[in-house]
Amino acid sequence: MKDGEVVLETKGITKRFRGLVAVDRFDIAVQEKTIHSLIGPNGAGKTTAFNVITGIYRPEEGQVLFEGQLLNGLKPHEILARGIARTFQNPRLFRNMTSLENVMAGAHAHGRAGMWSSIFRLPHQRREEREILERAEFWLEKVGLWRFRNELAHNIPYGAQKLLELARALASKPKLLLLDEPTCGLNESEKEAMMNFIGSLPQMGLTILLVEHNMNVVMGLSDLITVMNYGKKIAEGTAEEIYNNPVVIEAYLGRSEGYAIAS
Amino acid sequence: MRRKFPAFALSRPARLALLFASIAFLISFPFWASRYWVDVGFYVGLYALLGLGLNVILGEVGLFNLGHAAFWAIGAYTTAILNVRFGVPTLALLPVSALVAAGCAWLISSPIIHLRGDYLCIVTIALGEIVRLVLINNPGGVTGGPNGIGGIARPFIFGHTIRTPTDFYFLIWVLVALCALGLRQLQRSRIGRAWNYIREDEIAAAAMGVDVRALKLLAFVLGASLAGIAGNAFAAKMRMVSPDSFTFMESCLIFCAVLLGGMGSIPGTILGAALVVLFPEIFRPAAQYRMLFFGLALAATMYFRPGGVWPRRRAMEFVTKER
Repeated sequence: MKDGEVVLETKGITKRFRGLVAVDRFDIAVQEKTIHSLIGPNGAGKTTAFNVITGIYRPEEGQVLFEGQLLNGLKPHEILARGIARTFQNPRLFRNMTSLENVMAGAHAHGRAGMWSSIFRLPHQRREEREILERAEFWLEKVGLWRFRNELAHNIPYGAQKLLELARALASKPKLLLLDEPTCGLNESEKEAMMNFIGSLPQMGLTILLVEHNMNVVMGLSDLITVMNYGKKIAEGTAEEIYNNPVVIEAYLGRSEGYAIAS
Repeated sequence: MRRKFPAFALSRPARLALLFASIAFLISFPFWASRYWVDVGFYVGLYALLGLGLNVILGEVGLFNLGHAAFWAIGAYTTAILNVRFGVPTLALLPVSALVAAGCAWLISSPIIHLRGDYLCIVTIALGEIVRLVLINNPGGVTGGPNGIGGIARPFIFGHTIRTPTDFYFLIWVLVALCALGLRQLQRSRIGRAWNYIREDEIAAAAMGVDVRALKLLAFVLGASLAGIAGNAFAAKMRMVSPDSFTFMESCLIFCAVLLGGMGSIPGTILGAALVVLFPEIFRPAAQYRMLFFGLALAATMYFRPGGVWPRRRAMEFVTKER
């Protein structure tokens, strides 16, 4: 695998919900311009780890470092401004707004215009609005949703909603993109299109942290795989190493035979 | 959602024509209507202004505020106290009333802005009542207790004293027009979109870089400042203010105006304000059954148009080139 700089690092992050330890002293180091997958059985703490990294939850212990800087205590919008964007397992779109407006959300954080300059349409505000629109149009076209640009987000097909969320995240010019089950609920051809698109992102300079249940996707895309169970890291390695790791097979497949690893 | 009537969309020229027709109607109205109806027209404008303020909070950001009359009261009392006690010209107090209402809104909403949905709703009901009770209890002898404050000077502008119903009619509708224009610009900007992102999904909005707290506060402060302006115009028109004018019922009516017209829609809110003022007038012949009919009319409107009488049509706003 490629050896690059570590972009994101968590050191011993722990998140508890009352008695339940959802994430337990979890470490991960994500290297620049790679696709790093985070897998594990349902309830292993993958999404909670995402929520800790993006500031939706505060960890009780441990540190989240991004480009060497501590992210602990920052609010979600501040973390996005540092260059970490995410998608959600079930698309959290702005349902009653158009697809274009949804993608424009990604550009919001890079704008500066306030209330008065918006009311009086000052020159810098107009320029900024034009840039926001152009950037949103660019990404909407890139993910192939141009025809839905004026459709309300809740009226477009599920597969398109997944792509729309991805476009929205990309419009924020992230350095690191966290994807929470991007192919979940997609049909085979949509899955393949999504995989190809995600696979092309590192060439654009992005780093990807991917949570995914579909093993074809994980094995096909990942530079490195981290396996979680009960909030802890239980294994880490390349696709091949994970594929043959007895601990992983026991934790993962032992509980739910018929899972797609064998394919 | 149930939809009894198909959604209809007006083309751009049709919308412009409708806009100009409405403006022409509003300008000509005092010249052919009776004094009584011109007064009703003033109240439509007043509630439109209050509704536009609440629309920012409730319609754009989705914050349930059932205490909007409190900011209206603060604006009205600011005008009354500073005019009667210190002789500041009434119209000069318009921006002052807006600022005082905005300042109070900032102080009041800062600690509660993180509350969601019904919790915020209950707290704002309480705040509305607290403000009214404080006014009744006459702290420091400044608010005049239950009787309020009388003897507010008539406003004047460019040497012309605003005194007739027609004068006040134009005063309020000029204010409505200016506010509606400013709010329209905000709707189509990164601020307005961010408000809507919060309304649609707060967590996703935060994750996309929207400073949720700051933008919610901005909405509250801006909405309250419009209520402050309405308070100034109201005090100037009535020439006296008293706590009776700012009851929970008023907050409810303003809430209805926004809901009825279509949350997040500027023309809708103005139309909604017209409905809540006009329905009781129309049903006046029904005497004691007036409020019953009023309630039925509100319910029927929401049944047939659950999204409001004039909802915002987003898809038409970005006319993007074909690719």
